[in-house]
Amino acid sequence: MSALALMDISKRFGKQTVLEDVSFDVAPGEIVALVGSSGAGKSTILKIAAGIERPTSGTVLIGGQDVARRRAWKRQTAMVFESYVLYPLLSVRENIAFPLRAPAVRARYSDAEVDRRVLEIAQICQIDDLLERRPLELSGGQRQRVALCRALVRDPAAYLMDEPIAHLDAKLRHWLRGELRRLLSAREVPTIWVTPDGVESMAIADRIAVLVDRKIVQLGTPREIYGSPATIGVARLLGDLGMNILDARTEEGGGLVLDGAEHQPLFVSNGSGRLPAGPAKVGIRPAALRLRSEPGPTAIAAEVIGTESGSRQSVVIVRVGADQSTKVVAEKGELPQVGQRVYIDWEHAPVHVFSPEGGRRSTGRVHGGSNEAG
Amino acid sequence: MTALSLQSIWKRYGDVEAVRDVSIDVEAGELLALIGPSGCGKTSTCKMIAGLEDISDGDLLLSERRVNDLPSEQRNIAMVFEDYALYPRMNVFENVAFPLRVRSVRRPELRERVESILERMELTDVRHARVQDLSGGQQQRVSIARALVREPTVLIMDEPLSHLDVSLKGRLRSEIRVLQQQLGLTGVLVTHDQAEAMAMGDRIAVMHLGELRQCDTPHAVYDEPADMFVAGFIGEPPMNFVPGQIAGEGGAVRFVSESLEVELPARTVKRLTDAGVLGNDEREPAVIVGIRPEHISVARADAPASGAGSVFFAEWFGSFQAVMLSHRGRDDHWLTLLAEPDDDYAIGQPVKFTVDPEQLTFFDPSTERNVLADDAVGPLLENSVASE
Repeated sequence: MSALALMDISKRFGKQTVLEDVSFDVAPGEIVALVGSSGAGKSTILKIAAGIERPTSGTVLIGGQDVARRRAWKRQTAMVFESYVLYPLLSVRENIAFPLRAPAVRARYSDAEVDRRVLEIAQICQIDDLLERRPLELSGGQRQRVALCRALVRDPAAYLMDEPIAHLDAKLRHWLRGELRRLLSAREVPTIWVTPDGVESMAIADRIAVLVDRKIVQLGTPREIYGSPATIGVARLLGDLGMNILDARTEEGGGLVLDGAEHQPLFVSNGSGRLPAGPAKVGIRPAALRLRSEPGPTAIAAEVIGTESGSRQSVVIVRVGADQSTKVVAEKGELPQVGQRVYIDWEHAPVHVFSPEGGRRSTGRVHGGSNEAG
Repeated sequence: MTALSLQSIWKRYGDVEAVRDVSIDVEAGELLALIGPSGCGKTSTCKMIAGLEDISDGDLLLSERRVNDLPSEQRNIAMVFEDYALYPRMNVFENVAFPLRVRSVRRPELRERVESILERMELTDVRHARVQDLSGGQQQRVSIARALVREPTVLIMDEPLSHLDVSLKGRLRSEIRVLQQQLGLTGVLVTHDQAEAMAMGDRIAVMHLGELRQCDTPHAVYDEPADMFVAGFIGEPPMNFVPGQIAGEGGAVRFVSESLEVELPARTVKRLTDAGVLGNDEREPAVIVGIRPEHISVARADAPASGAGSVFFAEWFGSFQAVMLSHRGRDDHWLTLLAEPDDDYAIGQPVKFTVDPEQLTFFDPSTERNVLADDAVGPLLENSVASE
């Protein structure tokens, strides 16, 4: 049984639609990440689940019960906002313990139990040495962790987290993702985790709901969504360097030619039938391409226009065909010069072919010969 | 030519030393990324370069001329800020033309310079649009165009991408980098984001507590960090720090830590001896060894291993996964390693691993300095010689 379900949720403010038919459910102990760019509607979904906003239509179920008419504080959800408010006159310890002292739950927790919980969660968030301080004495990142602790100290019906680790440094985010993931999956409570960061969503979530223009365009495990993104919008959101999206056309017979480039057609091997002839968009991850110094059946001429260093590799930005820029992952030591002519090799690379409107048509691996197509 | 030179620059606010004895040269056509956590002094440094803050001590040279006492507007430095600071009521053309208008540049020349920069920035199509109707990425391009139209000696970019969406950030980062390289711009990028600094900078300068800790190419800083602060700040997932001893018996010299042992290559032993870590009175010197996650790999059950632990948590990133290990029977964060994306790692599962002995970084536990940092021959040189 799902512990939290949103069914056919729509939300309009006057004439403006901010959510359209959003449906998904979250199982006990499951983390569902809501990913999308700013303005996609992520925070509105969270507020509707919490009861801070009312949906224009649709149903919210928590623990199997319709809570549409239940006020926010009666829903027993624990929420972390990106912009959090702490009680300035209370110590960090008192701030974190606050939800356990509320009249409705006070009787449930002994003082010793409150202390134990506060300390446990403060240790996980690495602020256990700050418990006697006041919020104003803390840095922004420390305050964000106090707010996080205050939500996690409770036993709510659902955790609703809006960019809970957004403003922390990379090292702390890495630590907290692991700790929170373990903590939350052990608690038999559903979690919605909102983030604009596709990479964070892959690392933290059991399933991801990708929100583009007010709608959920894809819902699935990180592996499903990374492996077969439903649209170009989804493909762009997930993955370290972002996917290269290139304009191309499909010729009769299924071969792909990049716009403005002269090369032998590339064929995509898969079982999903021939691609329709005409304009298309091709998506390929920077790590799937290879930089070559010689042409080949699947290697396309390009000009180096920029270089970036990465920690485990370098990235070469090339211009190919009709002024299309593409990133190619290269070995650390092999940075070419800007202006240099190179060839980018597509052989065996996994690619996605999208319609000009951005819907995925096919996913497969590239090869140079036509006989295997279809 | 050195476009910008900081020579023993200090910034004091009363008793507080915000910037301490920082020296950096930026060559013409180079992009220097200035990076560090908040409060490290990077913003004060960049304000002193721009002339927005007085320099307490030291010399600032622009095109080999001392400019300490030159007011901001005479330094020919342009700045791009996080919030663009565009004029919302003007269109794109007028925003870009503004710095020339206030300098009374004659109309034909103004038009030519603005049109040319708009074209290079791919803004020609929107030149009559109001800036508030543009996307965040386009607005940032307008603010860069406005900075460049003056043909500044140095372009300073202060967190230019930090309030853009993650996916847009990556694309715009490359766009700015391509532009900088194509035009041969000299620039200083201020950022707190280590991935951004590595990607965009020709060199990165890491600051901490007002001091310059290291200034080198991104790969040199990553592969040969000067100290534990730099090592931990640069790289994601972060470098593992493992405390232990260097023990030698019967010719083999090993790094030994709890549940982890690595035999050191002869070359490393020689370097450690030359650096005075080995071969002195101390029998088993204590060190902290830094190991990047990509230099630890999962070993097959029957293969020899450097150590064993159990899975604390695995994070999947599409093209790889980061596996955090605990010591067996404990729930601690011990080591993070990188593994292939297709394998499954369940919490608690035992894992044997091997550590690449060529890729260890040795830190002094008391000073936290890289004990081999001054050793001239680094692995980087060898990598760049190797070709496909």
